Amino acid sequence: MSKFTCLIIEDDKAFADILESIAVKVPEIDVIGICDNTVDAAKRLELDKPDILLLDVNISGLEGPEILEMTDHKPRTIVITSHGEEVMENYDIEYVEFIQKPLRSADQLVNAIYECINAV
Amino acid sequence: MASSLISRILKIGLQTTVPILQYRQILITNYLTFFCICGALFMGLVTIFFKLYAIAITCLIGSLFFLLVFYLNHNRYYRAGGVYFIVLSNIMLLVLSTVSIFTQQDTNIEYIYFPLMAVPLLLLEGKIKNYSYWITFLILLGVKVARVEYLGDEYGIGFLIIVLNLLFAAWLLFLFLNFFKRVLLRAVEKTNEHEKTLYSLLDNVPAYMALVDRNGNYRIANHHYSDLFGLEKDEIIGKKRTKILPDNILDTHQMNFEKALQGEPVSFLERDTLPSGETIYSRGTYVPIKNSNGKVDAISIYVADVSELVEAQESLRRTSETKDKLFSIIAHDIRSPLNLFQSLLNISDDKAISKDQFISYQGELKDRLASLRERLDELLDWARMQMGGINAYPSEVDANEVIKENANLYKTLIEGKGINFKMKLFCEIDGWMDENHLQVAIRNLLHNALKYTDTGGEVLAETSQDDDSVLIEITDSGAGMSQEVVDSILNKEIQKSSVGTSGEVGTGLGLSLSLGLLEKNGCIVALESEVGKGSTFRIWIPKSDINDPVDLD
Repeated sequence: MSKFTCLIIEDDKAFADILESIAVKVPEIDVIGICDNTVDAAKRLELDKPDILLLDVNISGLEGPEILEMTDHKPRTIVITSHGEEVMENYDIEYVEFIQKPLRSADQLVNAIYECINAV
Repeated sequence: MASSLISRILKIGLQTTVPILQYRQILITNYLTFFCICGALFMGLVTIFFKLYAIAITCLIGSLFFLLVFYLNHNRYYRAGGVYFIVLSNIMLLVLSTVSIFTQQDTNIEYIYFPLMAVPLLLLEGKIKNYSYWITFLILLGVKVARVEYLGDEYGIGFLIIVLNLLFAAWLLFLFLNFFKRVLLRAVEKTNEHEKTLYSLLDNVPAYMALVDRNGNYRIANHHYSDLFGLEKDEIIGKKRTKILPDNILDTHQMNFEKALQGEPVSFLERDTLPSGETIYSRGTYVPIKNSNGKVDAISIYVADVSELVEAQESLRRTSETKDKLFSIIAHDIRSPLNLFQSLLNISDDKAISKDQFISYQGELKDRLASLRERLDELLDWARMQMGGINAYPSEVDANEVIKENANLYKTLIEGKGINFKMKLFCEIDGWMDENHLQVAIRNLLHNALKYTDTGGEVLAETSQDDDSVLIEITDSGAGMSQEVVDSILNKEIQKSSVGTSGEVGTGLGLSLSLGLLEKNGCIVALESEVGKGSTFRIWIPKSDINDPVDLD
């Protein structure tokens, strides 16, 4: 069985590194890249069509969820942001899990990724 | 239908602009004329019936002559109308009396002279009205004498008593009429006084006020109101609203006016452009004024200029927006490094990352901590400045040194981005300001110049001097800004921080803080920028007194 592909959209380079180093420890997924800006992110979403998306909200340019509103491909999404979950009321996107920064533990992210894998 | 025609006839020539006394006199002339015409026509028809053709013809022709009074009043020859009426009615009566004498009728028609004598007292002013009264009386006596002569009666004691009685009656009538007229005039004067009092109130109310009758004619307008349209009060009163109001205001207000005519008060708040080109925010009301039958007689208009209030509200809204913007900037810029530290510490408990990995983050963490600190300092200084808590402690400042120190601070950034950085420090005198403040400003401006300049671009820091000040210029070949952004920077508005050409971040507070500090030190700041070509900041620092040659005398 082929692995799930995973894309990270996060403009804080160091935070993206942390997310990646946790995600690579989940054997079922394959992290295919990190985007630190919205233009790249939109391009990669359409070209690579990742199965799972780790999405930040505040990115310079568009805001993270706005990219998803524009693109046709809708991956299973984990929103990771410093805002409370009520911020998602401003956007019209579906997401599997919501994680408010800071990360409480590595397992918090790992569990969220499994939620995505198991989501039908 | 017929009654409205009559009321229109009776109002011929009436203008709301004429003084109240004259208004009444015109009205009386119209009533009398109308009555005379009706009376003459009636008499004419009745006398035809009795075959008194001479009188009938006189009456019918006379009624035609009376029509001329309406013509005169209509063309606003009011005085001529009054005099004409008096002369004409006298002639008419004289003709009628003569005819009645010659036809040997004992009709005593000459007694109609009595009411006729009263007319000049009502319609005319000054001595002429008295002369006119007594001349009419003399005509009456003349007719009496003529009747005695023609009928061949004798001038006995009976005739003398008749004459004396007539004289007595005329004298009494004269006194009464004059007395009543004086009472009437006093009432009119009172009314005028009341009007003056009313206007002294209306003209001193800081609002635009007017009263319009149901046909849309102004009855009252205070001078603020008439000034609004560059007119005098007299030029407005009696005129139609639709002729006075400019089209743009009429367009929006016709509906209000019509709604008020239905009996409902209407309020509005709007932005208006006046004939002078000035725009104001106006808040006002149309209040219908009803008579005892509940019908709307007039509409009072009250408008206040609330521009200042609206502007204050606008400025409050902007302040609150600034605050919101500030909070969102702080939230993002301060939370993001904190989130990073906390996340990293949280996951290191889980052994999710190795010790080596953790150590490899150390450099990054140090940088982030330093920039977080810088951000916080900036924020606290800015907040302190907003609360007025920053004082400038001026001393001699060497601008060249400050630039050199800060350039040294950004050495890594300059080399990293491969920017061609040059200094041309030609200033030979000291400036007079708080050195720390200049440090903050130069650090910020230099950082901005470097931040928005592409790899291989140029940044130039220059100093020079003129008679009164030290001039610092920082020029970059960076992204540049639109005029709108330049203006908002010079207004010390907080900028939405954009990422630099190598991903540098900032709070956007720096510029606002720097400009505020420079202003506090009496510096003048100018900013020139062109999108795609770069920007130049110029700072004129007051020069230190120490630079002046000491006067040895």
